[in-house]
Amino acid sequence: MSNASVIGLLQNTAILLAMALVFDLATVKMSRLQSRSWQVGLGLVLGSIGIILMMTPWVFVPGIIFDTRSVLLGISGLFFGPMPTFIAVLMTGAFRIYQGGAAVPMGVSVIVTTGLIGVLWGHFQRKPKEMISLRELLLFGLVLHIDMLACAFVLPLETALTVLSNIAGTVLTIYPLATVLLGWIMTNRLRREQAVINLSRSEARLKSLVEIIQHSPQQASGYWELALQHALQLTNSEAGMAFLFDEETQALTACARASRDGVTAQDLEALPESQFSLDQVGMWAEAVRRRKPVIFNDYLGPLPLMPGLPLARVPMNYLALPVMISGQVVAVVGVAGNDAGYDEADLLQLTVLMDGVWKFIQWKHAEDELRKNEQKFRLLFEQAADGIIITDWQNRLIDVNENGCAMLGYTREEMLNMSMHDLFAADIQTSPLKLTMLNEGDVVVSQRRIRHKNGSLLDIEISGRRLPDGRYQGVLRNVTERTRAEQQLMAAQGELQQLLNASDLSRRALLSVVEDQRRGEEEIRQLNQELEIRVRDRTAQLETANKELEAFAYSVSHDLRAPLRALEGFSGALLSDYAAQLDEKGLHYLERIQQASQRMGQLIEDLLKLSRITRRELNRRQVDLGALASNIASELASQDPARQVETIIKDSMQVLADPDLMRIALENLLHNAFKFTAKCEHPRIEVGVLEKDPERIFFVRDNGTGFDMNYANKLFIPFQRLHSLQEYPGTGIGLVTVQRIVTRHGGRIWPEAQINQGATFYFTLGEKA
Amino acid sequence: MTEKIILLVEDNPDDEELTMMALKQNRFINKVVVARDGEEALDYLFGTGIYAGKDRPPLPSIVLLDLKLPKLNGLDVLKRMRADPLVQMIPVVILTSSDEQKDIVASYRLGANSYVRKPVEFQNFSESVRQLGQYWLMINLSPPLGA
Repeated sequence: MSNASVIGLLQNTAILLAMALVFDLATVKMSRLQSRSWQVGLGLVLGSIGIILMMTPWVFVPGIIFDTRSVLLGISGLFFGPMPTFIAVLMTGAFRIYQGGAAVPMGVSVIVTTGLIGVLWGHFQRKPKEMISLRELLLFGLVLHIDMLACAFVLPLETALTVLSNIAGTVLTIYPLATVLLGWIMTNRLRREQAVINLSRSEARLKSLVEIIQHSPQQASGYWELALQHALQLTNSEAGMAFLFDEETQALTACARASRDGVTAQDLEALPESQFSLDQVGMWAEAVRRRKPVIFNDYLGPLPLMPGLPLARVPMNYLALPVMISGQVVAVVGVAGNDAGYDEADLLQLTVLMDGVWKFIQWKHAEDELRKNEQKFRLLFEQAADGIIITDWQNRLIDVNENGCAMLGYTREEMLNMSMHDLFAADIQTSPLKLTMLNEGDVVVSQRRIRHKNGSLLDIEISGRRLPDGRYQGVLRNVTERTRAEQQLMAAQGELQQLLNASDLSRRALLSVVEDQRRGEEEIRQLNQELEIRVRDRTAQLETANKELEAFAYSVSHDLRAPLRALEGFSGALLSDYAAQLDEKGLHYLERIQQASQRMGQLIEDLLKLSRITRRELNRRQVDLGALASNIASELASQDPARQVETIIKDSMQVLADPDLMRIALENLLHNAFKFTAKCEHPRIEVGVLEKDPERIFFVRDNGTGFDMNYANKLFIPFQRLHSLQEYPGTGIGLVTVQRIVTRHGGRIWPEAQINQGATFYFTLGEKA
Repeated sequence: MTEKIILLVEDNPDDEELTMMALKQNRFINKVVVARDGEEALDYLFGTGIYAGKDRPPLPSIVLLDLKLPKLNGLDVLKRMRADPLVQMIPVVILTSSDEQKDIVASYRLGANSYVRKPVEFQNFSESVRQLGQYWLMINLSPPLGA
């Protein structure tokens, strides 16, 4: 191997690399090579570079030339694909044939085979071109140029061997290195391009995010819709859907749907339902089930939940992505309709976008909540019946509600320029702020005197507490009225107590009077009761006595008379039938027996009368005592017609009394009067009445014998007599009977008499008692 | 005209004798049947007891009935007499010591024809008996006995 060949080939290599650099700077992005016209253009450029290389070869012998076209065509096949390489092969092949020489067959075959090897290598190489390593490039260069040396055998063998012995070492050293260098330039370029693409994608994504964030729809679904629209753009998709997923219930809730055609949330509402269980949902849910993104290119199958979309039931590509927050699937987003199919880059775009969107939505949600809370708080703050103030750590007021202002008479602006010390000026010295207690988290309730703007002092109850952010909140309640009311109440209570004490004393006094009265009544009641019992006892005794008396009287009436009758009857028979056989004395004794028997009969008679008066029922009726007395007097007068007795009887003395008993009484009194006036020269009997309010006193008066008033008490004792039987006959029962009748009428009887001056018996009949 | 019989119902022998004395003094010669208690009086009237078996004794024209009697008293006898169709029309004169109101009322209620109290003085008693006999045995017309 000569130095000349090395230098020549190095020169050619340098030209190749220089062309490559120029090409690199001049040409546009590799991504555009997907268009056919660009590929043709590139092929023409490559072919041209090949011709330039072939025009400055290292000439081994005339006709046998070497240059770096094999490197160019191999790299072209590897990086640019069949179309540009094919054009370049045609151009360089034609130019070689035009150059002519012994080695045309070898030159053409090298052009064809290296181009072919590059295309094939590129086809079977699956990983991205920018990832091809230097080692692989070296291997590629060696394979390429072993093939080139092999092509020497299309020459006559002797020539081929000569050529090989001269150039093999150079070809297998310089050419692979050149291949590596060229390939390195290409990979670098591709990497740069990729970086640019990534950058632009990021940019697009960021732009989308910014747009989404700057957009302020009414509802969260608005964000989803917008995000989906952007996702469609970023991933070149036709349609997309988003579902919220609840891990607990395994339910999917459709929250947005979008398509390039403008299918929006309104159409979504037209769906029969917007909530689905995981089993109902087809391919979209696959990402949830697998908990990782899924890409299906050329999917052919039913598209549940995508009714009406033109994409349905045609082969399509889709990408579904679970949105995961700390291991939990919270949503699933799917896009479909990218004709080029989805790749990792799309996935990345979508993942990053949706992550951002979700976080933004969450933040937005949180912000909404915060705002609502703030509104709630503000509402409470302003509507609170109490005054509320908020101070910073230096006790300066930083917020106050309307009631707080109204309570103290300041405007809000004035209040916000004050501190607690200004408010508490009235008594801050005597009672400093209890900051320590507040800072320990206690709620401190205290009552303070705060000066109203108009100068008056208010009693304010403040409950203060430290807020979590370090500020202090005070709730102010005006208790001036309450305090005053309490004081008044206390005073009133004091007065009331005194009144109560006083009234209690009088009540007790009254009670004792009442008690005494009650006790008195009780005693009376008891006495009455005792009296009643005693009366009842006495009545019973009386009844018993009456019955005994009745039995006695009955017995007397029947049994005592019979022996008397026998005494009287048989002594009488003796007197009449045997008078001749008795002497004077005997007859006298018999007469005495007769008289005694008769007197005994009279006594029994009178006693029975008396007992009858006691026993019989009192039957009051209208009685004219005057008429009654006249009647009796005339009877008495007729019994002894020889006597002349003057009777003065007041006529018409109406009383309410028992007529039978009154007759007996008057009979007795008048009988006595007749009897005791028997020895008078001018006997006079008077019956009358004295009106002595409230009662009438009746009297029976005579001018007869009278009696000694010293014995008046004996008048009303049975069988007691004030005169001898010889003087005035009688049994001594008459006045007792009269007294019994008078007392049974509820009246009294009393006498008035003088010896030989007559007697008067007065009686009342209990008329008005 | 058959002899008019007097039935005297009297337990006290003194009173019986005094009554007989009074009748005798007033020259009543009628037969006097004396029953010494209520039961005996009824036996005579109804032909029972000691009067059973033989011919029924002749019915009295008047019954002089004391009230206070052993065994059946005068009111019981009166009640039984007034309940019997044969003897219910015989005049009954209550001749007793009692002048108690309730005795008088009860006697008349049961159908006594007269109520006469025996006075303590014999002469009064005798006078009463005379008037009674005169009235019931001579003046008054009784229904035919046994009618």
